[in-house]
Amino acid sequence: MAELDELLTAALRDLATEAPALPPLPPRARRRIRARRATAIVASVAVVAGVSAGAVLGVRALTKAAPPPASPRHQVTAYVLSGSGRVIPIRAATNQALPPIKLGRNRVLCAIAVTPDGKTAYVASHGPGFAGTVTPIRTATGTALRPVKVGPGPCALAVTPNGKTVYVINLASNTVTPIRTATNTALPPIRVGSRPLAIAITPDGKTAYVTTRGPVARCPGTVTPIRIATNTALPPVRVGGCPIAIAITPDGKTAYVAAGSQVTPIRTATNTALRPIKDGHIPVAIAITPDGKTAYVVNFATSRGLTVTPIRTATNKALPPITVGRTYPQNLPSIAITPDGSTVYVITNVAGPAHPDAVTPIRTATNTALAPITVGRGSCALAITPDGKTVYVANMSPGTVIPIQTATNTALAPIKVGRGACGIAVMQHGGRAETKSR
Amino acid sequence: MSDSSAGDRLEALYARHGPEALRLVYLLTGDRELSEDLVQEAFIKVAGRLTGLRNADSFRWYLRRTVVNLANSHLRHQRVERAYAKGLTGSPAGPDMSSPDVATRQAVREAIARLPARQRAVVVLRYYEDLTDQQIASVLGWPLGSVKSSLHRATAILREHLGQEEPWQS
Repeated sequence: MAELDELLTAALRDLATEAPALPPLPPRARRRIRARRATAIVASVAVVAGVSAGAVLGVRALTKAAPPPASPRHQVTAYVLSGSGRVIPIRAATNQALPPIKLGRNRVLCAIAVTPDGKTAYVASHGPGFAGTVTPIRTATGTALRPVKVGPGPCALAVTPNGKTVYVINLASNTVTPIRTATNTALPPIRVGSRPLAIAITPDGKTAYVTTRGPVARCPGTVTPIRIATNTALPPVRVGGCPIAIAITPDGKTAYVAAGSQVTPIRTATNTALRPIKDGHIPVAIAITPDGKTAYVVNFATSRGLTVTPIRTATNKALPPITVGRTYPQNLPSIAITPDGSTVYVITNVAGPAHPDAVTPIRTATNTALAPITVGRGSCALAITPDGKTVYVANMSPGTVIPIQTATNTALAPIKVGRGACGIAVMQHGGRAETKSR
Repeated sequence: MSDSSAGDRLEALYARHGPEALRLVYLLTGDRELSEDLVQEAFIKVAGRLTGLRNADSFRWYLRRTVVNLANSHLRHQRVERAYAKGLTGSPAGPDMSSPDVATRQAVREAIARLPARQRAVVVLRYYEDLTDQQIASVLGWPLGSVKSSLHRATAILREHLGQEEPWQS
């Protein structure tokens, strides 16, 4: 039997989903509130006058006592990009959706990133004609600020480690727009190669790397470094195929690029491509363990379905691939690693295209896949809470987010967020932010 | 401030914090109708007193404290434990007991339902609201020692019901 703590938490959360819907506040209740407020004001005046101390004890008890600080898990929120231009916050402590933050019904939400201090989430979206904006959201209050205009077709964004700048990829204009977070103003766009798609920033905050695919027919494939101090593009680095994903080691020395049928490491000190790593499969997503020792690459492998190849970063050698799914999920697979580096979670599909997608955990100590966890149709993004206890998986078709308890690898009750759920970020107020964009 | 804008703020506050408070009071009472009544009563009490409160976390905290106290008071006076147990164990969805996970969870729900109201409140605040002992003591207005002993007794009873050994026995 699992630990009692986990059982109690799971049972109570499960039970809470059966609570009734909130009834509307009746007019009689409003009248009673107004009457009580009038009484409270009279009582406050009495305090100032120094009389009737006993009558105001109740008011003082409420207004003087400061609430104790919330426990860390209480302060964790997952933000889910949903259809109809809505961002749905989910409180991690209870796994319940909070009121949506509406960015406009005609807007398609494309990507989300959270500043390292957790105070602001940035959501990239486009409206008719791919007109792009990035909307800052104050996480403390859940309010959307004035949108910042960026280039057409924003598809990915990344925040610098010092939280001062957000870089937004504008797919339709082959540019990257920096946004100054202090004032939420866009700086002049930086021209990069054609068809930019993914972005990663070095941990020292000096360089952003943007994958650029080039013309469709030839797809020469490059990565364009951007010097953050001057916001200038440096000469592109050839990576030998169509690049689709990029990840940088925690020490910032190497960027790994999934490009064509190979993974190309780039030495960031010199911006030179190293010998590509090939295992005959097509890499589509990359994540690197927090200790920087292993990169996990998700591959489309025609003969074996979906595989994950571990790459030792010290030697840039690929280990034997791990089969995680018989077929491909409906969307591009997403991958995330727990903060303690013990488990990799990958969106897969094990039963066939007509069946729901699944999430397969991989134990990094042994590089073995555990039993897949069925989640839902159209799973397209996953993110892990900073404490590593929960994985959130966004599912487009049913419009749900499924929390997975990492201790037991069991799926909890789905949280309804509205159809089109895709893209998710998890942040901790006043602390770390774990971000997974679409 | 005009009446209409004050009304809108009230509605927004209710919509923001009401569902969370409702789920908490439902866990404490197990009665859907009673939960709705108690959460409205708690909202009237808190919103009626805290006119100038701008910190949403503080409002949430006071609302939580008020619903817990109202629920405990109601349970104490009306003795609705049996109704609670019935409500909890009779899940409207009719759980599929063939799955070991579901069967275990159902057993846990029944065990929680059997707890006395005070112990149940401590268990809900710890394992659902994820509060520390200190925070639970503040919500319930109890000494810290009472929280610790209640929690200890409650988990011992739950382990006994669920056939689990104490950690030091395994």
